[in-house]
Amino acid sequence: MSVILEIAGLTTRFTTPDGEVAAVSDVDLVLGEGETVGVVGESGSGKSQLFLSVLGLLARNGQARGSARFRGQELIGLQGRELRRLRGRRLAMIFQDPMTALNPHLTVGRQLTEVLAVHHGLGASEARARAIAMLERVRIPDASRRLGTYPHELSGGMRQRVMIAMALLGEPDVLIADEPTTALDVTVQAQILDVLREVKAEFGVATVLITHDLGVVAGLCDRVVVMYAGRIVEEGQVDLLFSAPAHPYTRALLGALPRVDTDGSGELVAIPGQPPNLQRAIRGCAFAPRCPVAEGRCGAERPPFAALGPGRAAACFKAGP
Amino acid sequence: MAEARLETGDLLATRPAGRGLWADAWARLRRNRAAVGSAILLGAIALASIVGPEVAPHGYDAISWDQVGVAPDLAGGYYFGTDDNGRDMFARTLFAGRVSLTIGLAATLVSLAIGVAWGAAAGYLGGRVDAAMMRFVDILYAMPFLFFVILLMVYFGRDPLLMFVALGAVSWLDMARIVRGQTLSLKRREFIEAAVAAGTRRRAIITRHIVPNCLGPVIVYATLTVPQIILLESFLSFLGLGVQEPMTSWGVLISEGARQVETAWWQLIFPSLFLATTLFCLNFIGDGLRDALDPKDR
Amino acid sequence: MLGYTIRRMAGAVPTLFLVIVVSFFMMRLAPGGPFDKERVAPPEIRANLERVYHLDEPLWRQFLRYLGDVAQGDFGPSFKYKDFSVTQLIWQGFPVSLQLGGAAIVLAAVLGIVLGALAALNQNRPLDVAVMAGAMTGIAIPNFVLAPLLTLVLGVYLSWLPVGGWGDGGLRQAFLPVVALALPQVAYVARLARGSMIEVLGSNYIRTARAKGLPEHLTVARHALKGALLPVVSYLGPATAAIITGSVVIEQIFGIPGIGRYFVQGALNRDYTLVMGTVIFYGALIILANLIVDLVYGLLDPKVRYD
Repeated sequence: MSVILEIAGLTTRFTTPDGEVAAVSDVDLVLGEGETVGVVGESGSGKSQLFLSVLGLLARNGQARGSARFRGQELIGLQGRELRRLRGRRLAMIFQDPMTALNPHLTVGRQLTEVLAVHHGLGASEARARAIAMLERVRIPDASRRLGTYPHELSGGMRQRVMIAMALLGEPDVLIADEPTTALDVTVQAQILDVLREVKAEFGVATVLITHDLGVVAGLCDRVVVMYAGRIVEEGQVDLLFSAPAHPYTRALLGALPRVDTDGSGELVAIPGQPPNLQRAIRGCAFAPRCPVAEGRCGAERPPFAALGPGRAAACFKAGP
Repeated sequence: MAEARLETGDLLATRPAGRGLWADAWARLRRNRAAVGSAILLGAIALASIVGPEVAPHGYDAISWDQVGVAPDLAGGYYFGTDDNGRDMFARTLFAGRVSLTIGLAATLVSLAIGVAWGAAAGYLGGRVDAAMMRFVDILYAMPFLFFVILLMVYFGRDPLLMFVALGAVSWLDMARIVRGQTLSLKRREFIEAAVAAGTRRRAIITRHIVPNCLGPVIVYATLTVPQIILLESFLSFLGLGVQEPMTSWGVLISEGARQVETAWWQLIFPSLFLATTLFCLNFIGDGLRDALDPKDR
Repeated sequence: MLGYTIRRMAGAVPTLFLVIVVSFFMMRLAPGGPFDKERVAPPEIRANLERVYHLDEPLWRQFLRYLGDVAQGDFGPSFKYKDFSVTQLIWQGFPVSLQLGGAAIVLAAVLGIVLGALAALNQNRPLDVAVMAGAMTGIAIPNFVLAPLLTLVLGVYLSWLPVGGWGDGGLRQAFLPVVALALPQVAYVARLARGSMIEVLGSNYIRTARAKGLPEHLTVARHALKGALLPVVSYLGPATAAIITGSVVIEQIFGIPGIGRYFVQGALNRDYTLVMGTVIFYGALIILANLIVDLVYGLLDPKVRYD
């Protein structure tokens, strides 16, 4: 399987009046053609900022350093027309809250067709036809009438489907879905995940699924990457990772999951403590203060992200199931 | 294998010791150089207005027929020149400062009193009373108030008390809206419910929870109301309807100076400078307060 | 949209009514006015007054009568300008005031939006700082200070422009008054447009537009502008009111023969009918302006238009 996106040593810092925040810290990640990778972490783990950095969509006070190559082309630091040619066309991103991510002042049709006009040079009628076809593909009924509606007239689930359609119209090679189900009801979440599954089957797009919800990852992803405090702490095939997590944080996350197959008598194990303040430089392992098996050197040295086997890696001195 | 667990205190990069909302806002305000500079400048103007006329070489209403319309003369003690009645512009400008600033402050307090009372009552009582009270505000808001103030001044005489009330009455509407909005959103916040559930008395809820949370926007708007009032008063005085002789305000001086603009520029420039600077400073401070107390608003 | 329109128009009526009521009663209650029972006046004048104003009728009747007259556009005769009715005087001054005010509003809106948008697109760079500094000046310096200052510089020292008078309303005559009148509103609009644009540019949907690979000019023109302009459009109502109010002073300073001048002279001359008439007229204008702005806003905001 060939590599389509390769991130190496990516570090993203934000300059705030209270100091510098290292949102992403020395991250290496590889995405293969057609693969679906889940990126899991709590709020503040840097999972969204990582991919915003790749696409150059950081806020004004953010700076990304390192490398992110798409098919060999360096994206970090890319500007202007070069960048715009790739965005939406080769790498597409969909965002968490479709109500704020869609423009409330433009019709759905307008927001869909402009992708086609800009990237494929299509004229109005052909763009309309393709937009309708795509809306139907993501299971939006009465598609041609929907083109004239405004986002606030649609339900949450439909808005997210419009976002997915909008991203796919560019015919991208990579789709980055940033918490696509977080803002939706549980039942709607399942529908969106179905849509994503179909999309994956039909278009074979390499997908990155960013989420804090492990359950979402299980059904959809081939591989999982776990992030904490801006760093990657574990990576592996989804089944293996779930059945035998190597990093204490992953173990804690899985342990904290409410499960339907237990008798409900055990306690939900919350992870004690708080994620670290990213304004201070972190010495050693970021998870050490909350880690049940931490030892002396965990506080002094940052554990390297080391391979544990084929397709398995973790950043922990005491890694192992 | 159980190793000695690292103490949280050793490694955990702790947050800065929790700063209260006010300390945070104060720190932000201090960083705003424009606001700080404005505060200092404003303080200087206020000080000069209070002390100046007492220590100036000439009295603010002392007439010297041989010094009529004289340009600024440092040696003779007429720092800002004289007006057409031979009175020292320096002392007059500073004295006018006393009047304008006092009116600004006093009328703002009136507007504050009415606005906060109205808004808090409407927000707290809610329901139809609230709707009716705010409808009233909406109607008043759409009226060309300034004209009525002018009419008031014309028909009912130039009583300074009347002017305070009139000016304050014109500006309470915004304050009422703000306070009502704050009260409404506060009523629904969980900590109020928690306080009620814990059995806290209503008066305690109001003083300990509602008032401190309303204080922020109220302070901001009060600071921004003062320049509006000073502007209104100057406007009225400019038309000859505000402050009357022998009292004077910047508006009056500017009105007189405007008439002499071609022959005696100093009569216009100095009061204009003071008025503009004061308004500038107040606006900067108000903006700074707004940014400091509600960073989302930036 | 229809419901919104009807509601807005219905809301304007009580306001206008209130304006008329307050004006009427202010006039009747004014001490020393022609209706003051204390006043000792020669019998012929009294008889005249009583005939014209139906003072023998109960007050509420007089009010209804006045209301009826106003509805037909009759504000009564002027006290001071004996040969003219107030309506005639207003009609004389209106075209001039309309030119002055209209030009000022257009200038304020266009220049304000352009400057504000440019400042937002160059946030924190020299252009932004310059525009914001200028805006702060426009807000802090009252127009009645600015007018004489501008006159001093442009009219007296540089002798580029005439210092007063309106003539036929040509560009040279109109420049100073229009600019002095518009400048504070240019400042407010610019600040508002800048703030609004910056907020919109930071919003999620602009991030989406960029993520789609749209060229920046399209992102700004098609996606950002509409959202950014809505608050500015809303503000144009109060801006118009401020310009109408400010025109009173500007007309005074530059000796422009508009309604404002009649208002001020009427106030100082105790020409009650004239003052009342102008206040009601101004009030109606302001209410109308706010109504129009509200309706335009309703057309532009899809949430209002399509509900």
